[in-house]
Amino acid sequence: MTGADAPLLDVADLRVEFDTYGGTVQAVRGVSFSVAAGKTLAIVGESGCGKSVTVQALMGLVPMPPGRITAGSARLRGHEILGTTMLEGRDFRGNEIGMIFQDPMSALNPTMTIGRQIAETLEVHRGWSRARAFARAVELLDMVRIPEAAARARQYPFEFSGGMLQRAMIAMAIACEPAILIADEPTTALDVTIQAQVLDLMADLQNEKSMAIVLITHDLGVVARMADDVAVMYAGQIVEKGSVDDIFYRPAHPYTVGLRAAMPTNADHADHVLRPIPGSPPDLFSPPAGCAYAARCPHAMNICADHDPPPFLPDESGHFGRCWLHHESVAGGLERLRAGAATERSAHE
Amino acid sequence: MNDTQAPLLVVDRMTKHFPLGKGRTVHAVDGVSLTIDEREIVGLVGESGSGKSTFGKALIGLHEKTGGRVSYRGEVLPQSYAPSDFRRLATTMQMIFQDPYSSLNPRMTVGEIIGEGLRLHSRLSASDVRDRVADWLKRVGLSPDYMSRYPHEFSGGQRQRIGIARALIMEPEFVVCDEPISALDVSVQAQVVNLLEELQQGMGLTLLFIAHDLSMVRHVSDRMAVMYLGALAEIGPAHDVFFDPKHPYTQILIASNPEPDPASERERRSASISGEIPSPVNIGPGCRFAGRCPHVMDTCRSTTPLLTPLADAPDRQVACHLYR
Repeated sequence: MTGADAPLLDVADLRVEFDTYGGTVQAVRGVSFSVAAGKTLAIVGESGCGKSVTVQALMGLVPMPPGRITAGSARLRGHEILGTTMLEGRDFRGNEIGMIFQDPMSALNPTMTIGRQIAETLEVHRGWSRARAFARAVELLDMVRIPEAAARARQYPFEFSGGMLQRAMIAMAIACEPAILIADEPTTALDVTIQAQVLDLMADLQNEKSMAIVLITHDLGVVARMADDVAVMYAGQIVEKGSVDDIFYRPAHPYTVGLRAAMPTNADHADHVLRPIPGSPPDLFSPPAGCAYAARCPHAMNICADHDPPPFLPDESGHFGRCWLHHESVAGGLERLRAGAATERSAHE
Repeated sequence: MNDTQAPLLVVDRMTKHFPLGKGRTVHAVDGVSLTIDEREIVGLVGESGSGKSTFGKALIGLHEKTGGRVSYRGEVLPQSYAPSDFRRLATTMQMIFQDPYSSLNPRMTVGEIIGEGLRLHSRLSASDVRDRVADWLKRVGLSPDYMSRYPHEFSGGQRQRIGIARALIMEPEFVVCDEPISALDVSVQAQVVNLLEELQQGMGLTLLFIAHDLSMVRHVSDRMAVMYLGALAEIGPAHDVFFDPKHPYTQILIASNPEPDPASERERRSASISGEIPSPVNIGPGCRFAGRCPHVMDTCRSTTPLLTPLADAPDRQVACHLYR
């Protein structure tokens, strides 16, 4: 075990492509991030931004072909985990990373009881006997607050509600006490009261076991509730990364500002005009040469169309935004960038 | 909301039951009463299985009603719609559906989908229908050239605009919007909501806006109704219901809604309640929320609370024994 602040998982310059009939899609275009033990990193973005493909690549779940990891590395406690398929990497990965999927109904096997599915993980990764693994599965179901766990373990997925299935999937993901839990839209299919139960459960398990969580979501409310750090993805890149307070209170990219302005807010009990982001994300068959957000950006300058901005650091904290407004030659760039967030507060009567 | 004016739509103790056989019945909607004024936007929130979509569909005749009455401008609407009722009411009431993927016929062009209502319900010539479709494509922010394309060529947000054009080309007075934005990305949700608000004001529409996104319903609606297990728990001005919820279920629902604000989320005490929405099969007497309610009393398990106005705020109604 390394020091508390040393990253558990370190991903550098990950690039993933898919061959399709229409050409090659550059789904992930140079993504880097790291996660420390006991911390939650949220990866936020809209459909098609590459957030799910990023974690699928880490899990060896990108189908190859048509998928292809063209560059990058992902080190878990120093071990390279990229490039191994799910099966090759399963000894290490299965013990160290647990994953929760968005749709528990289709991620679980409908022909196996819930208890057997959880137990199978322990038989495969720990070499436990069926009986011992099943007994542990019941304990795990109890831990994720499934009532009457012993009886429930003998039931099939169709006998569970959506919220219970998601908790069963969490039980499966944490069976081997992983160092990292990857959760891909874990509450998107759930109602708000059930979402609150599942998020509370994840936070409690994290506190007990000091797990790192990588949370993929499009819901900024869930991000505000769960994340320590946030990576905002757009068109296959991380356009901004920082602490959760940086992202919400000191945004450093116009897309982050745009996302916030497009959502209703209940802060200060006022009503705000919703400001949609015009246009749609670029075609990743041939990503633009410059900033991928330039075509939709209210602040776009000439340079934005031709040159991809590097990550600029507006302060010392490691918070970055890939935006030319941070360049020293742009006067008042940061104020302009955040101005959108301020005018959003105009009263709506 | 003008007191002298009669409401546009009055729903009186509407029920919709689905028989399961063997004497078992799903009480999807159980005695819901609601009035909607002209040009008003009423938001209806609730969790899956609360019956909010069934209510919306029964309201405009897509489900036969089991009991209760719906009257529109004083006219009592039939329990079960005959084809002639649909023909007559198509120009009055329309619906915008949740899933922009499955609600558009993939074998019809966008022009055929949007123009179908006019072809069936008006005497306009084919070229007039085409002109109207082109006009509506423009009004929802799409190019008239898209008329000859098929739904699969469009994104979710664009399809929802097609669904809006399909419903509003009939120039209805009342529109049920059933989760119109749930399937869309955040930036696109704002586009669709702004479009709906703009059209609502421009055309003087009355909307029933069904959704589970509480913040969005508060933003859109004049009044907000909260549904739980087939019955209304609370109804009132959207701002009041959201910021000062009275019914224990509404309180928990709103406390569970994560705000996009890390500081307020850190202060938030966990409000999650255990348990899930129970089965709507053969519901007994008593409050539907009694089994999960933190304030449950003896009366709650035996007597069903009725929706009654609050003493200090007559524009708000709550179905809870705490406020008797």
